Amino acid sequence: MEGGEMIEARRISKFFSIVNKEGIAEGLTACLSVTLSIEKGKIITLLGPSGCGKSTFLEILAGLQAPSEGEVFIDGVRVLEPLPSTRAEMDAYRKRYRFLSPLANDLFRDRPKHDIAMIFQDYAVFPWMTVLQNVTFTLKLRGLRRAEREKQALFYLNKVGLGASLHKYPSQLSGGMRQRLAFARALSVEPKAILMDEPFAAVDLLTRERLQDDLLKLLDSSGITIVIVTHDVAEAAYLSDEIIIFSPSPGTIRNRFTIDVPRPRRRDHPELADIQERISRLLKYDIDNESEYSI
Amino acid sequence: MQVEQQYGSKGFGRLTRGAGLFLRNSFGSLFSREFIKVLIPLLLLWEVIPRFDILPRTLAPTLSDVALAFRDMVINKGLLLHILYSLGKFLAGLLIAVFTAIPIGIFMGWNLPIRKHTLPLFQILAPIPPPAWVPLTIIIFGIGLPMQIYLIFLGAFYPILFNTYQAIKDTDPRYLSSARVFGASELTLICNIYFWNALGAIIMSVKTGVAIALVMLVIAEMYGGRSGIGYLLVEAKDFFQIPAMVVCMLVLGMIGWFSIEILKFAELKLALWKVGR
Amino acid sequence: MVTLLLVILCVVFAFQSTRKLFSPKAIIGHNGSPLLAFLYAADEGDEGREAFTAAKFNSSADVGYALLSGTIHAGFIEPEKALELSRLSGFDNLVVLGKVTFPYGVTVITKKGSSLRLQDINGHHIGVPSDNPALLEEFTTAVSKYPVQLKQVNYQFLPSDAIIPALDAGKIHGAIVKGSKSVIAISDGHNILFQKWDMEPGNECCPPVIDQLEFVLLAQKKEQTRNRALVEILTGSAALNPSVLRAALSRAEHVPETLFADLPLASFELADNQLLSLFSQHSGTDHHK
Repeated sequence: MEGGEMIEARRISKFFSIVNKEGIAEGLTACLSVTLSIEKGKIITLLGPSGCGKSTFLEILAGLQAPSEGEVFIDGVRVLEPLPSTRAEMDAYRKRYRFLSPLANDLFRDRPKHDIAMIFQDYAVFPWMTVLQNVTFTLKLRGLRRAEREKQALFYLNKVGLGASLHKYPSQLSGGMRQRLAFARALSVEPKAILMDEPFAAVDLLTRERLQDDLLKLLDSSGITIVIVTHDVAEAAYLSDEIIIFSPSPGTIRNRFTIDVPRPRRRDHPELADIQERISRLLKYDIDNESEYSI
Repeated sequence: MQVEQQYGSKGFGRLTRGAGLFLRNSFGSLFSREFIKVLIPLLLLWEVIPRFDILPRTLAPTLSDVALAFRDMVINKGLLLHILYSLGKFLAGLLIAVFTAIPIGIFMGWNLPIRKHTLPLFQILAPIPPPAWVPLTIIIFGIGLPMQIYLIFLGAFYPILFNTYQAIKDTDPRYLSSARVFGASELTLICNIYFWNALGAIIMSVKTGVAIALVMLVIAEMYGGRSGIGYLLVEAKDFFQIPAMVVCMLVLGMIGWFSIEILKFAELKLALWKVGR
Repeated sequence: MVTLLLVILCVVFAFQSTRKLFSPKAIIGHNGSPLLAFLYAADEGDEGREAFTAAKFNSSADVGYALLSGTIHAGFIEPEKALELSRLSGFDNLVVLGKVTFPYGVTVITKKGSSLRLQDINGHHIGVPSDNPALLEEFTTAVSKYPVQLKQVNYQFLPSDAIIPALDAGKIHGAIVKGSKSVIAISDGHNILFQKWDMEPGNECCPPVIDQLEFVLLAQKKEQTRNRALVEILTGSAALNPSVLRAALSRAEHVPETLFADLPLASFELADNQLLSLFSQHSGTDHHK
């Protein structure tokens, strides 16, 4: 629709109702009217302390959760149909989704609706499939034939450096290799966008830095739009073109920072350090003041 | 060298190696060095105590009495044939239970509306202990093979059903999200994710089912079989043949042990990915 | 190791203990057979009610085990089973007190509602007890006096307790059974097609004791006074008016009295020397197998 926008989120809000310690139901606002546009080919980071709704927002972008309000468009196509507004629509909606949730794909046919991939922090790869099977699984969902699947899977697995572990099970791999497998799986379907939810949180610092470099190398001029959720400020500064700060309760966009430093970047680049400093101060201020709303 | 390669590569070689591994695992764990140290004295006591009339020999047969009775039963009473009958019924009931309980459990765990409609019914019927079903089963099926297979099926059904649906229900949603975002259909999810994730729990539930099915096998055969180990057991009791009774008990124990060992082996082979966790 | 030894010792002592509690009233075990009309009648009578209670067991083997362990005082067991019981060492504490005999010989029964006649038996499936094949010979000899064709009869050999179920299921049209089984068949509602009435002990075809003997009464050897009293009561009961016995039987079996109207009743007598010698012979040889 609008030129150059890969992912567009308009006024996304997500409300939960939870039961608090006294047993009274109360509302929890995960996100409040978040509007965000992400250009093609950019790497965007959503940054913020834990529990500020960035993971929820990411899942809404992916179509894994339905927003309470608002809409998401990926490359012009709407993610998840609009929630009913009139009474009649509500009845029809309820009737249609009596059996299967609206978040589920088709009952029998594999239907990748949008050309996106997602990587989670843990549980990204299936432990009962070998490395090779993990990648061919997603390719099969795209409808490729067996020979093509294997060829493409091998290509990407070699690219991430797992060519020697094709028939191993994920439990036999180290944490870093498992995340690389997740990358291979995401890249192998050649998506337009990849969404990552704290992808490097489960590994140690050294591995993390290696994986970050590997990621940048893999994405080198591939034109894939990346959205990363993280709470590591240095990582955000090193990787992204734009950092979006989320503030907690309710989750809203607090601030944006654009980083114009060309890649390959040095981790100790002065501009990065400066931005990190500013972001840290901002986050600390938020935590200290525990602001309810930010305008 | 070439012959070895020819036989050792696929098919036959794999089969014998698998069987060898199975036998080593099962018998090895049972007859370990430590247990032999306990077993031999026990066997000696068993032989000696009735001989010296510490226990009356006709009511507590010695090991050799039992062995002789075993030999007699194999030659004269067709014990092996009865074992085959019992195994056949046992497997039939068990397989029917597995192939009904697992699909139903999968559907119940996968979809909440289905579960809401069906689970309460099973929760009402399950607590009825399987032996209490015998009279009703006799009324409906009469006495004979269908009644026996039904009772065995009933014993194995509920443990498998409940454990399967629970395991499927508790699949980590992140696995499902991982697949859904790539466009996986519900069918793909069930076959590739729900099922494999729950496989460990499913096999464990089948083990429980086997234990209960074995109990039901004996009960079913006692109530009007003409064949099978349970029938031999009751007949031996009716005619005061104590050594034959002991033989039947031991045979039943062995059938149960063997079934569990097979399942343990299947678990080992199928759940390779859990190794190392 | 120590715990194991302790466990074994406990089991041994449990077996050894012979202190059993006898209730003031003797318990007589039985398996609910319709041949024991005299027992049921005695149980209802005043004398009987004071002296003993009749306890129904699921099978006569259970009666045997209860006798061995001393929890009941006396019990009725089928002779074949009693012979097997006599091989066990606990039998030394028991004594053969009496016997129950039934006067009729071989019988042909047909399913309830069947209209099969003896003349038409040719071509039908007839069950024969595989553990008592002499009955077939008895039947053919007995029937030879009548104009009945047996050439095309299809004999099916089945174990004797499978015969009535097979009749029920319709697998056989009729069955040749021991005389006393007819009482059980009648109480299940089946018909008697033919019955040999002129049975004499000592017929060449069948060993007299086993053929007519339905039950033996075993009792604890030590309780001699009680045993004497029991035999008196039971013999007296067996000599009662048949209609009284039939009434007691129908109450015990929960079937209408008219069912047994045409059938004779089993009789109870003190064990004779023949029976006693049979048992001592049998138990003597096979004591330690």
